[in-house]
Amino acid sequence: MADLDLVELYKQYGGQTVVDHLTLHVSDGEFVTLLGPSGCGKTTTLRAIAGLVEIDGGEIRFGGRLMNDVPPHKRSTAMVFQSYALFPHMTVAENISFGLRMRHVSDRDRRDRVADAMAMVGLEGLAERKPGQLSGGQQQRVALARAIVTRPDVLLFDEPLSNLDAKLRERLRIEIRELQRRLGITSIYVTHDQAEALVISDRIVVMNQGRIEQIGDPLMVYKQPATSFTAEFIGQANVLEATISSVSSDGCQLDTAIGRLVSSARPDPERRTALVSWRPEDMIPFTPDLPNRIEARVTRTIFMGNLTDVALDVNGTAIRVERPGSVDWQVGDTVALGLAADRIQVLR
Amino acid sequence: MTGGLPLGTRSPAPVLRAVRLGVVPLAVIVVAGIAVGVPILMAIAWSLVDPDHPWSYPDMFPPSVSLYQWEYVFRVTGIVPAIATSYVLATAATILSFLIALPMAYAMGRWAFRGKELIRILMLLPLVMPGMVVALFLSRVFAAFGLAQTFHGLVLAHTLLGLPFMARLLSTSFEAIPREVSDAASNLGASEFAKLRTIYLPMVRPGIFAGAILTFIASLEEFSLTYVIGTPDYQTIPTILFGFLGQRLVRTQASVVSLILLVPSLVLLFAADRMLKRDYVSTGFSKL
Amino acid sequence: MTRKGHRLEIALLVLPAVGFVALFLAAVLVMTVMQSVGLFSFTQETQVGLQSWIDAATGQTWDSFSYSAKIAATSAFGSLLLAYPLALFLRRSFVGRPLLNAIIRVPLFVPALVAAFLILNVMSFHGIVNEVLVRLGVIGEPLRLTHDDWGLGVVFIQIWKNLPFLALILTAVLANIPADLEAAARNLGAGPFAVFRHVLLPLSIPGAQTGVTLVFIGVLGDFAINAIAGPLYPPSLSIRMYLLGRNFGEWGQAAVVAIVIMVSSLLFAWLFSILGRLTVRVVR
Repeated sequence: MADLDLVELYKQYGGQTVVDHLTLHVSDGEFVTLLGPSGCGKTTTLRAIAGLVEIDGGEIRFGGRLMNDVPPHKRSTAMVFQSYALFPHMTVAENISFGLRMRHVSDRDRRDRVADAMAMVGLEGLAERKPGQLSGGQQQRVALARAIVTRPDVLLFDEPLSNLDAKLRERLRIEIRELQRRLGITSIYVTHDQAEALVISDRIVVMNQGRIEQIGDPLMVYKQPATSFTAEFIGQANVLEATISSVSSDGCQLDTAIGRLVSSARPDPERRTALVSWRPEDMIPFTPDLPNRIEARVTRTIFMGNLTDVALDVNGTAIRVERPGSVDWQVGDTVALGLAADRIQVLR
Repeated sequence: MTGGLPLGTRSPAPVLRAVRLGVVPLAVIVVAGIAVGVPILMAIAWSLVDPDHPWSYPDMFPPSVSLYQWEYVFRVTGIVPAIATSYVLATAATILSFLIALPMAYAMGRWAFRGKELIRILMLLPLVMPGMVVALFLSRVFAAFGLAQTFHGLVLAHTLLGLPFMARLLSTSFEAIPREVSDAASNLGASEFAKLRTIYLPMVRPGIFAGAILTFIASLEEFSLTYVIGTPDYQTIPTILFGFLGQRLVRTQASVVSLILLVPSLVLLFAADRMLKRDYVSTGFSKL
Repeated sequence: MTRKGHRLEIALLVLPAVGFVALFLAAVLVMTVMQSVGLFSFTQETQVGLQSWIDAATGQTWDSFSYSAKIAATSAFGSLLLAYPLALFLRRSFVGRPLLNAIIRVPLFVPALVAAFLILNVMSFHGIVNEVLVRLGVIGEPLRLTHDDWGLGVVFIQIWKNLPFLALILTAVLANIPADLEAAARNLGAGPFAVFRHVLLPLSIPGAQTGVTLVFIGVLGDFAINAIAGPLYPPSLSIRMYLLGRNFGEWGQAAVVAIVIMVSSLLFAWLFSILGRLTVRVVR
């Protein structure tokens, strides 16, 4: 059990900076997700923690101990790979016990711990099978069991669920989280799926082009995106340019292409312009208690089962609204929408 | 050949890290270079020995160089007809192999059917069976049918040995044509023959070249069958060489004939290797 | 997919190649078997029966067999032992890797006869190897490295010729092992040797085994290289077979030796596959 410190981590491949002076502290037992599009450096960071990738600068510390020169097989990390990386020539039991064999754990202890791990992930009865005989979900569980059985300081997940179908993914990610909570192992999880990140993380680290865009718990990252990247990467967002006309202790007034908006955000008074964003589900049919009223013309509605995605036009500016269930708006209708002051974010 | 491990992968240990750069690669390259290069260089050196200044122990290099050996071999030995026989034989065997293997390769690429694996194994058999066994007893078969010591017999025998290469390379090429390309062509109105002409054959051209080169060289280098079935009426470069390597080893002349056999092979094979852009030898075996 | 109507088409297309090979190889096999039991002969009146087998079952045949098996095993496994480190070395990039790749491929392109001569030349009594060793003071007198009774000369030639072949197979097979597997093993605590033993070795054994089998069978049935560089006695199996047939006219016995070569090739192939599977089970 240990906390993890990344200090000014730097890595470049052939002239391109892949990880750009990344600094992050992860507390003991925390579940932190590195979230971002492909190429943002999250997998490189993960592999650097494991020692599988050499960094060009910065420090990696487990519980304060410097790990830079420690080779991967001597670091107390365990990784769950996207491809599962199960040893095809070994049985499930042999796969799971591999890490224990490397650490020269005694036969009897090995057997017990393997059995425990298998029970924990729900693999009873499959000990003698080979990976080729298992389903995707089962293989994933074996990879999980193989990692946790070694009781590492840090558990690393490299997009472990992206090869599974949606339903299985939803089920397994919750299982992973509960398992981690029970074991209390510090975990770093890499994914590009923002819904996944929101569901399982204690904190989300949003990454873009090797840099951290924002760190925060899921609620905060979702409701208060700090940058347009975060706003648009996590969930949907309407993002507009705005001129800040006034700032007070209650909030600010913003001039945008869709009219004057009132927000409870309090930006730096020095700023003249900013990007502002709000979530499509926060714009609701207008009620008098809402400070912001916008008239918009419906251009398209798409029914998606549990919600309807509506595209609207406001004097030439396109916006998106999400309504639960179905709507009786038709294309061409003009509707009055309202927005609460605390739902408008002023981005960096 | 794929590059192996991903970029940036950490070397396993500091000691092994020294393996990556520095002394060890250099040492290995030097050793490999010597092991491979010295024998070849020696042969070249021996082929250039001046008969008036024989090269013998303890000299490290021939005292003087001349093309006498080359001129001697060409003038005095039966090398010239042997070269002619070799190359004519190789050409005939290659063409025959191509004609025989083409329909089969087409079928292998076009359809899935039972017995494909069996056919693949069968086509490799001539390479796996012990050469002299095949040579000796095929010669008996030929003798029974009046084909012994005939050119036709030799062509048939060389074709037998060349077919595995031609068949494998052609089949692989045909099988590599994506199904969708063929379907798209049909969809656009191409008949089977038109497809063969305008799509398949152009796409398998590299395979045809590679197959032709490998078959040609296999025939050039073939020894056992030719030795048993062809000699003494027909000599090829390998049988002549064998003659020089028997009891009386004449290094100088053996060197010349070795080079006559070696150099075209090397040139052709490197050309084939380059032309293919992929390494068929190791790719073919990687699926084992 | 095979539509019913195509079956005839396929058969006809495939017939020339398959028929050609099958016909000739079958003819060889049939002739061999027939000769071995006296069913066929050009020259003598023979009786059908196992006489040839009895005649061939001599100490000489055994000597040839054990000699051929010995040099085949030495060549095949010697090449393997050298090829593995080479293939492992070539996995990672280093300065000069393309050059090493090119150098290693060269012997593949050298015809067997030429290879035999090249090495014979270099290893002969007054060849450069002996010269260098004597000059460096490593040995006092030149060694007999060719036409020696053990067959060392033949083994050297076979290793020179076959090492690149095996190295190439191993390189391809190792490249097929997903990089993640090695990463996972290291992540779980495996040092470099453990990675080799538990991951790389077991997964490369099938390919290695095929390569070793092919090399073994090739050396077992070799004629030319033994004729050029081998000991006077015992002759390799193929040389013995040749002499029995062509020099002594004992075609029946020659056929028996031929069958011995072929059957033992099959048996050794089978043996190696079992060995391979056992090794995998032991190391993993």
